[in-house]
Amino acid sequence: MRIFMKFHKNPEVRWISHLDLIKVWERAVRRARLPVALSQGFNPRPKMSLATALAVGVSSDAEYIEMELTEELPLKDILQRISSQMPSGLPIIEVGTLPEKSLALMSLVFASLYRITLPLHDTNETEELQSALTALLAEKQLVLNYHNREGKSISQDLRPGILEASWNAEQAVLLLKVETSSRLFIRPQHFLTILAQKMGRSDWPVEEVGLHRLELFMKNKMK
Amino acid sequence: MTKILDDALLATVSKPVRYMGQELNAVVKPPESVEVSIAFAFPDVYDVGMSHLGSKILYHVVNSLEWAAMERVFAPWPDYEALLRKEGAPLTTLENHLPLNQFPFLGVTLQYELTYTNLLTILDLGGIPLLAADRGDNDPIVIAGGPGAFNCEPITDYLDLITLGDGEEILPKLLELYRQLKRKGPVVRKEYLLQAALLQGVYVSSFYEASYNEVGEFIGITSLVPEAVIPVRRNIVQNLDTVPYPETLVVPYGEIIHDRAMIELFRGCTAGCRFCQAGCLYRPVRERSLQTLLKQAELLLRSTGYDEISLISLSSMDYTQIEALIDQLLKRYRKECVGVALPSLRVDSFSVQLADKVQQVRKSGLTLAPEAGSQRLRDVINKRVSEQQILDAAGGAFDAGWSSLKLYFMLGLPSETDEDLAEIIALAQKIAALYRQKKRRGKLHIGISVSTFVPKPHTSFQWMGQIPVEEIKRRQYYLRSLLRDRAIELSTHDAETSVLEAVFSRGDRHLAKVVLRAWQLGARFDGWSEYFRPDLWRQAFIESGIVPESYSEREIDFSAALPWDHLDSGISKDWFINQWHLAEQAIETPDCRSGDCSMCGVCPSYGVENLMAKEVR
Repeated sequence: MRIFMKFHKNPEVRWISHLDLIKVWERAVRRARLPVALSQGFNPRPKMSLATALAVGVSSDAEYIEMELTEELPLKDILQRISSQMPSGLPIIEVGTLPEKSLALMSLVFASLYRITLPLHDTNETEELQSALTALLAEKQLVLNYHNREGKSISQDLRPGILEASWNAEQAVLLLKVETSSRLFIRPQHFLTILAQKMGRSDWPVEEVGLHRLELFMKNKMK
Repeated sequence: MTKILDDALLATVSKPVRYMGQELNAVVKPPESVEVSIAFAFPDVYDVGMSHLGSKILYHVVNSLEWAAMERVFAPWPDYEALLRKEGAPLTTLENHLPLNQFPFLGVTLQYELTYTNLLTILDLGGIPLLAADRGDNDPIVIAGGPGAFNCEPITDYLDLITLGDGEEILPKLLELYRQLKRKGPVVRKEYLLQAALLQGVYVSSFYEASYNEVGEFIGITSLVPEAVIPVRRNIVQNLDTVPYPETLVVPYGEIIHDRAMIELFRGCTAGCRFCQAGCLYRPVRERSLQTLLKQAELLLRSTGYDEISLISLSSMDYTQIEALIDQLLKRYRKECVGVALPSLRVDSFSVQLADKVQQVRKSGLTLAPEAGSQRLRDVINKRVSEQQILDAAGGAFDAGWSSLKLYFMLGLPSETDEDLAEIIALAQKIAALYRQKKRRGKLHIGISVSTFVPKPHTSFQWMGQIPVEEIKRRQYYLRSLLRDRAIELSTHDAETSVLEAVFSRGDRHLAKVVLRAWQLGARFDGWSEYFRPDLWRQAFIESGIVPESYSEREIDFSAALPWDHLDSGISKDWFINQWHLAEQAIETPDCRSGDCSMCGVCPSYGVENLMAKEVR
């Protein structure tokens, strides 16, 4: 049977990398003795995959993993067995089945909604931010030039991938929905870089702001 | 330094997961729920420290006591140290994120000499006065243990108390002593240390005074208080089945060196390699029973979810029940795809067969350690391996499907000549020829790794000087010049690093100021080639008025007092001298497990004996 699980990555464990998270899951299903199907080949691996990568330092309320089990089990039992084996900070909140024939979750991921805590000091700055935000969203193009990890210079138009961006005054957070599909992947930090440029605040430590994924959106109403 | 680091700043350092904690099976006790707590420092980076079995054992032993807690701390990587200093934040433990000076104890394990500067970093960022003499009743008591305890003299200025030998029984006793004193009122450091000194295996270095002659050479040590005995005897657990072993392990995030379950087959080794310090510090051989090991393997695999288990000891192939153990592990766990790792192979075809058995799937490289190229030199170091055995092992590996082989050798061994070195390459050539003769398909690769011999205290070679640094480099160059075959690759160790290791191995208390000065100048992670700064060390030696070669290269008289003489391994000096003479004549000494007792002295002196696992049906 094909199943998915939705889990949180709480702030205290947000430094776990994507690769480490895969290992966490492999070990958790071993401890839970879930009958996960194994891949063929010389080095068989359990058939499971995370829907999308979450950058190191980002916490989340909406991480998904899918896996294939070799036997049918009640979802309730699965949840019970695996929940007690997860490390603290990675609670499972939902288990469900997936249609046998549907595409991998990985290829269905479309967008992410982030909650961003910014280093703002006073109401002046908040107002500045709001007007910068409005101005940005009115643009047809938002081109960012940056160097990737290999040092290659990249020029990317972020605008088509920015789906929503709004300031939530009550919680003093920025809500940002961006495309995070295999076709177009927008790093929230890149949006913040442009926002900081617009505000004349190039000193913003965009890599250190508090980032939290609130929801992950899939194509085809798959959640 | 009281405000804890804002953890958002971890985004600016490499591998922030090293400082995060929160791992599965970590024991986090509310600080107010225990009577005594100890921060335990491994003075290297998390990835290395978390791979160390001894620390895992002590973590389990202490945290099993309901009135005590142990929390972990590791040396901060230079980028993290810089961040802590910039922010004025203290180094904290991983469990409760507490600064180190809030613990009554700081434990530190001394695994190798080139971590001493990291120890100072940990003390300093932990808010603990560097010098033991400067610590007051409210500062932590700094306890050290591990193999390095047997010559801790170069750093005793920074330690309050050192334990010798097996730690699982003495550490709870030391914590219990503190607990008892604390119940009577605030603990006075001096009083605690005086009472601790009465326990076997405890060395309170400040209760001893070292003397030196007019040229600064060590001539002896005297006790300053009646509680401080000479020699300090070590602790030996005779039956390892009776002491606690972890039932679970902290499962780290991030990549660490050895990320797998571990069972310790036995402690001690009586193979008798004359260069080997571990072979002298942990005698006699004490094997765990097969049932105990299988039970421990089951508990660890179930509670960690690891897919690999490593069989740890100084020479795992020598475990009496090794075949039965491997058969049982494979039988029980193969269908769950759990691999068995054998970290130390013996150089013979039996070992290769077992390695083949456990590696049915992954044919990773195979490592053998002949240690010396010529038969004569192997006899000098008592390696007790013939060339035929080496060739049989290599041939067996090729037949089993390996095409990549790694061979370990040492350079600079006593009496070594260029002819001995040439035989290292010649041996590799013979192995290569063997492979080609078999007309196998895979591409042959023979990696020769040559480290530099470091004379270690508590070995038969302790009196011998290391060859000078230029000579190390010349011999390395000479070896390289002999390479003709592209299938053979040679790697050597940094010469300056080996010299520093020799200096501190055979060092005395004069060296404390050199460590401090080098650290002040910026020396960190000296065992890591990317951080090792020989220039800073040279400057530190000059400023301290100490000639490093007077430690590393000095030939010491058999009659001279040694700075570690008062730290008792149990082996008599006469035995070491006798072994030295046998080495000179290239005469072997058998392993006392199977051959005659060579009268090293440990068993009668401590009332212990070799203990072998019995066959189980």
